[in-house]
Amino acid sequence: MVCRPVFAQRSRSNKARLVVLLAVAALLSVACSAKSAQDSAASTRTLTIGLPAAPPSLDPAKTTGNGQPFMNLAYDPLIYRAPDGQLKPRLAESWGYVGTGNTVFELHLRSGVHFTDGSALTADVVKANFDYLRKVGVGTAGKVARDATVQVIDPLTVRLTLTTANPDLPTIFSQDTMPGVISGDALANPDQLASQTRGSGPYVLDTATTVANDHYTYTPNPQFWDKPSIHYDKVIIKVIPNPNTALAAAKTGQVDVIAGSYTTVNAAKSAGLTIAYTPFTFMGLVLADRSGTVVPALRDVRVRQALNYAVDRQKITRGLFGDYGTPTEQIQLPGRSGYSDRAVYSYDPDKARHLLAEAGYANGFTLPALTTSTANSNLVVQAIADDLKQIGVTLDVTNDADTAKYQQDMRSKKWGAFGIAFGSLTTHLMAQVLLLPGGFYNPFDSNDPELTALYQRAAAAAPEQRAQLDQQVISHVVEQGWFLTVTFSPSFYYARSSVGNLTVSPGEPVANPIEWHPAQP
Amino acid sequence: MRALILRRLLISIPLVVVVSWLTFLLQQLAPGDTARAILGEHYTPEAYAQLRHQLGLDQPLLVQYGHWLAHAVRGDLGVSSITGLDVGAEIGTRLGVTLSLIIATTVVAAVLGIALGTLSAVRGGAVGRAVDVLSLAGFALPSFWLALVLVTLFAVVLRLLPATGYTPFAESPGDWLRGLILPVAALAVHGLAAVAKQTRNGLLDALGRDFVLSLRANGASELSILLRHALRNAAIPVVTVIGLVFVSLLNGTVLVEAVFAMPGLGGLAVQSTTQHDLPAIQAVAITFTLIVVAVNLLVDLAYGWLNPKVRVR
Repeated sequence: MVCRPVFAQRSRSNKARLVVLLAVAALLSVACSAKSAQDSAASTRTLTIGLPAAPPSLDPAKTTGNGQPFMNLAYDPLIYRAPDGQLKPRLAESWGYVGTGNTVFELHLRSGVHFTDGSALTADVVKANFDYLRKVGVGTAGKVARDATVQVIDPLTVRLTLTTANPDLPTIFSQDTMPGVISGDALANPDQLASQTRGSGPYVLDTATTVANDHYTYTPNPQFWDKPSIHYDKVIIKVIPNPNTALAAAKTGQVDVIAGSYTTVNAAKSAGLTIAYTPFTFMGLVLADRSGTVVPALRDVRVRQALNYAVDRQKITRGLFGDYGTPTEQIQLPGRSGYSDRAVYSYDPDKARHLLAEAGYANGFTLPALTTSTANSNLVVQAIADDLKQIGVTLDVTNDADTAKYQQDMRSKKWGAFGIAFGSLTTHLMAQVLLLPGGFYNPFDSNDPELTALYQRAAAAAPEQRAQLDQQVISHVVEQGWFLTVTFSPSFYYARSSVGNLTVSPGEPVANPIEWHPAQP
Repeated sequence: MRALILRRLLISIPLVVVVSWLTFLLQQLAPGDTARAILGEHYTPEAYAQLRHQLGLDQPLLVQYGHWLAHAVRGDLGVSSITGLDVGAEIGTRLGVTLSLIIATTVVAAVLGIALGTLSAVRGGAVGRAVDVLSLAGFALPSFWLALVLVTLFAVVLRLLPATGYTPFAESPGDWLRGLILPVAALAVHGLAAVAKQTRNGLLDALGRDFVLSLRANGASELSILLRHALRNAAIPVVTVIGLVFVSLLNGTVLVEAVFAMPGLGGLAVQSTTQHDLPAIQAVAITFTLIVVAVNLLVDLAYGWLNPKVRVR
């Protein structure tokens, strides 16, 4: 038997005691931290939002789409689109076109507004914002700024003069396309806007507790001009890319509101979360090669109409979105200017075959189509392929997983049709991107003089005539079979019962966190 | 020892240059580019050309790479083409998250793997077979799936642990630990299986050697033979496996960081690749390379500590 020195025995037992003590300390700190986190959340009104992605920049001039909620908290737009779609005063108290033709527009600003850096909102600041947008703006607001001459009429009045008619300036100057007005002082050093906020909105970004692309913390803006409308002491936006993780976070109370999807809506409903949803993007195929360059069959309107008759929109919508989808044959959302209640295409494969035979394609043809996994538009295209097969049309599908590659290929004119998930814009703005020669999603530059004339008349029309003209634009496109639209996919938001006033509509499908408040018990 | 460290550090310089050049080339081959990614559907040929010029993408490849390298050697990794944020600062923020995850996972995999492997080698029989089966299961289970299962069970159903997020240690050690438990558990299974298997095989070999018989004949206790002699002899391949586990976790963290919404380097790697953010991609590649170099150095140093004969060479 080997005898060990006494100090070696004591040393081993001291080490064992130390390990046990450390383990107990770790467990206690884990338990205490959970309790302290709960106590902390209870003493402040904190709203935590889970969103799948952060904008590439916090600069409102460079942000569209995903970035809207991040901007809404810290920046005020000139005009506010409310959850019901109505346009309401914000930094502009009133606005309107001057004269006829929709080329001259004036904004009258709210007095007494200050940015977080203490500087005041003036017409000169708004002009400086348009000058900045002209240089760096990537979206629709940037395009308008590049087309506009901006004049300061008086300290609180700005006038824009456009070279081409644009009836949608009130919409364009809302948070959907021009998220916010930036402080004039900040525009002197715009690089800071990538990671800081310099707006006049209800909250300001707390950069000390913000980690880019992980979580963004906002605290109330002490300079805000409408303090009673601030409902929370802190708002945190967490970036949670995985939808199942986001749902788990909402179920467990780590977040209060998340952007949802149709893959998780049933689970959200079972978990007792409040569901808010609305039709958002139209999905289907763009029958882009209307001149028959790569697919001669598509030149004939009867062929394009045949494809529209061949698809069972109800079945596809139900299969993909259940009760939450909306079958459609048109590209404009219900309730928005241009939408028509009149249905043109019913599901009628026999009629489809008849039209194909009339056009000389009784034996069908092959239609090369491009699609992408983004927004799952490839699922709709695959469903369409099944229905088209029944009338002898073979959809030869190529899928680009990468969005940039898809956009590059889509514009290459190698595919006669491509899948799309698009929305939600006014008819005028959609036409520029989808319908007119030079539009990004009109790669073959299809030119329909009748359509262009309708568009131009609508662009210059007074509001009371515009709705009818917009409807004519949309109806013309449907009758000409430029698209094989199948469904409106919905946008979803889920909220815990502690959050009230979460509403969306076709008029404003992007939920705005400044509208939410603690729910009444 | 000093010579070994110096040699490794010197080798790492050309290695980092080669990796950065290869990364740069591979990104040129990928479909799309930064300007298209930024413009999206606001693409026009004029805007595209202007943005490419602004970002320096219209320059020859060697000029672009040389420009980046000239700044990188001065410690300036540039700014993100997409966000405009300093890439070095972004790496600094995220490195702690990924290293916390990787180091904790490696420690768990090593400790539990060695323990299980030792138990299996010593007890043998049904225990040994059970460890083999668990090791096989550990290799087979995808960490992404396991992560989702753990979130559902421990976060959603049992409400014991958080479903997402990462808290820096300095902010709250308790929350930091709680936030790591599930992602570490999801990641550690593969490594644990590999370490257990290697430990078991190594120990079985060592325990069957003549020197063990001699030790037993001299009256040494089984515990002493196991811990002071056999395990030490079996340790070198185990240390190698632990090093490989650490390095493989650089890949593994990408998916797990996505599931748990942790702001680590894996997420930055995916995001910068899909957005064609070249400065960020280069910075991530270099960081990963340096981590691999450091781990390999530590493994070599561990060899030297475990086996004095290695130190002489």
